[in-house]
Amino acid sequence: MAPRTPGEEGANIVVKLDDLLHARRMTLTELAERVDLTLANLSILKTGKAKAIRFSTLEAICRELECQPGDLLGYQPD
Amino acid sequence: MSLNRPDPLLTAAQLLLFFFIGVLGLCAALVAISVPATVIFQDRILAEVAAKGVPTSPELIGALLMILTCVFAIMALGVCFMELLRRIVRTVGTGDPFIPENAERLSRMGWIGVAAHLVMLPLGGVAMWLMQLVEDTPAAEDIKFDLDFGLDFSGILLILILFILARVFRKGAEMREDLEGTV
Repeated sequence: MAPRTPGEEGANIVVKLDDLLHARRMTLTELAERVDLTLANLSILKTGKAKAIRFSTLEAICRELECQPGDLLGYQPD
Repeated sequence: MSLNRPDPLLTAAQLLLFFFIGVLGLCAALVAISVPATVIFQDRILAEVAAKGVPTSPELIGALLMILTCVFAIMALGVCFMELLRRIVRTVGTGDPFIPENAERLSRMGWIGVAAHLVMLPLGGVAMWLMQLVEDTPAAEDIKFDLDFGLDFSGILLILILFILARVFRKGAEMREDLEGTV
């Protein structure tokens, strides 16, 4: 799956999962196990290729990383 | 997602479509051969027609060629139509029918239907002319014309359904792509 390109729907939404994982000293594999998601799906989210995120996924990530949805997602204007 | 066991209905459909494509392709090839044969043997054809008491003219060969060409076009369109349908059935078998390619195939099938209807118009016209030519001759008793070139509502309905299905599949493919990008 190709990353979102500029101009594409949702291209201005930035996923800061990498920073959060780094701050918590947690690997993507470890998070994948904790939130019960496949590593492939979580990797899609981390690399900014995801088109949508389920509330259940957001909830699980926020729970495990002890953060708010706003910490995970950001908006970057053009 | 792929289906583990082959679906008997899809297998039967694939085999039937293979059969139809083969038969129709063979018929189309025979009709295609008959076009140059008509040109080569036109004197013999005209002589046989004259022997039946039908007034002959050079236009008669032109009319025959027109009919053969139209029949060939309809058969070739039929082969294309069934080949597209076969490819769609194959994607259903692999468990992945909601793809943009299938939307495009359905749309093309719709256009093939439109083209077939358009080809029927000159075919009907020439056949009517032939019928009038033969009508008042002794041959009229031997030749049975079965012309039905009116508006084919079931055909128009099929074309409409194909174009609508193409849109449904296009939307389905978009939704599937969205779902794939959802985590």
